[in-house]
Amino acid sequence: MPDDSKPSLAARAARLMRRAEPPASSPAVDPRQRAAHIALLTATIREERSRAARRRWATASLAAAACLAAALGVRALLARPPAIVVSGPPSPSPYALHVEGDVRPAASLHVGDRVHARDATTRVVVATGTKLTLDPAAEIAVVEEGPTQIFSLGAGSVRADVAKLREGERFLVRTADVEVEVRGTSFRVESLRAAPECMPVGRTRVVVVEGVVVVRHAGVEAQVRAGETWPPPCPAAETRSASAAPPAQSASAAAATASPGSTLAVANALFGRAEAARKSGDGRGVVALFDRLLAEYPASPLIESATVERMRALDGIDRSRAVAAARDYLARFPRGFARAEAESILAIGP
Amino acid sequence: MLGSDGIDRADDGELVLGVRRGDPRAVAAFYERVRPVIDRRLRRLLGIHDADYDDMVQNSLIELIRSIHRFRGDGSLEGWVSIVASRVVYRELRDRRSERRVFDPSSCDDGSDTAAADDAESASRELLLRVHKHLDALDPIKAWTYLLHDVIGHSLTEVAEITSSSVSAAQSRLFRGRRELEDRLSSDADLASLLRSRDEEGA
Repeated sequence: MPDDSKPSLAARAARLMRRAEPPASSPAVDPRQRAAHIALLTATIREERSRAARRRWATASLAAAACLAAALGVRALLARPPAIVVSGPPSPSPYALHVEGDVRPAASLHVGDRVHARDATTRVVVATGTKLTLDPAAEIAVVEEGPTQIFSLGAGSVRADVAKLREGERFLVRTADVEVEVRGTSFRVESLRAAPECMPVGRTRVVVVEGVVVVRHAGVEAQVRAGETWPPPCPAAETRSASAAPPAQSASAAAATASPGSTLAVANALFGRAEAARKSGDGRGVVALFDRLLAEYPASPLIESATVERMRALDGIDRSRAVAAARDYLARFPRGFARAEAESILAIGP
Repeated sequence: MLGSDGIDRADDGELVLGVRRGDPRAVAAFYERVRPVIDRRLRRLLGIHDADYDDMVQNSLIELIRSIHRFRGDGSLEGWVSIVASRVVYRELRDRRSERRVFDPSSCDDGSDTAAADDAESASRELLLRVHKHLDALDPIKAWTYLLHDVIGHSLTEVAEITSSSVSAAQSRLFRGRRELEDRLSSDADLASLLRSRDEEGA
């Protein structure tokens, strides 16, 4: 039996390493290096201030335009009295972008900036409330900011939760071959490594969780509704999934064949309830709802997303079940969009 | 703007405000104040002989400016600089694929002539190398958590910030890292005995 009164070997090793602390005094810094470093600091400060100034520029331009319009007597063009616009302090741009999580470069984003996600915590947030959650290794670029927000997905997957858009506002995500435009919805875009068997020309998949999106591909526009995917699942895959359903669920599977629209609607409603439970912090509720969705609708196009969301929920409440869920995900979707995340859960272990 | 005679004596908050305003004297004083802290942390985590040492100094300086708005003055400037420098080194070593993934404790020597080192120093270095071998065999994230917390002295909250994880994940990794290292060290009877005797000598 170990003697608990004695320090552990790991603690002794830590003490030994602490004792190997290098001398406290720093080596003399070369004056040329010092000057170069101070210049670097100054340049970085200037760059950061310039970024902040760019953020303020749009607001200031609007204020200046309003001021000019008032001076010219074109008051009718303004919806609000000019005094309020001119005298008020500049407010932050309503479309300001920033990025959260372990990312480079800086926290605020502008046209031309790229974000490379290193882990599952990376999000691009628009001041309007729209959120883009990047999966690990995903890469996204800002193409246009302002009332029309355009992002370009270079690699990996991104989930977009788009705040309700007002008149004149647009939100689009582009990939190499597809443009997805939405109006207040929640959807996932995946840049695939290989095209689906039944659609060899495309390398993008879109999964709609809420609302409707428009997918434009090769000059053709398609509406994709909640619970649907674009391109539609390959027929062979649907047959395989349906035949893999457990016997107890055969009625559901039959219903899915008979009435795919209603099954999708129910599966989507379950997904929506699970999302709502996640937002309210009810981890166990999330797991229960996804368990039900996975059991009752094994052929649903939402199945991969549901498997991932369930794994994420378990990661916060039950490590051993999260590990099992990660293992199950990798077995079912060996090239799935959340592969890196599942591998990371397995690496940490229960 | 801070007065020229008071710039060196300005408290951390005043100095940071001066840097944010772009006051050149504040920037110079800020550099004088943070550079030794960056050096201490980099020498501890990276060793002074690392080929990327100078790059890491520069990256730390850039990172300090980019995140300066997060310094609220409720902790010390030194503590904040240490966290930023640790994060820069952690990211750099984590992204290295073919080289070492955790720091090498034997690299902490100050570059003095090894031939002149006495037997005790040589023995210590040898012991550190053997410990490092076991540490290097651990999952890097657990090894890093152990090093940052138990060796460097960062709090769990700071470790979580450096490794971009939650405090509970950091705590769990620390517990597992310690346990796995303990298992590995226990299985090396000779090293375990040396560690005990060396630790008791130095206690």
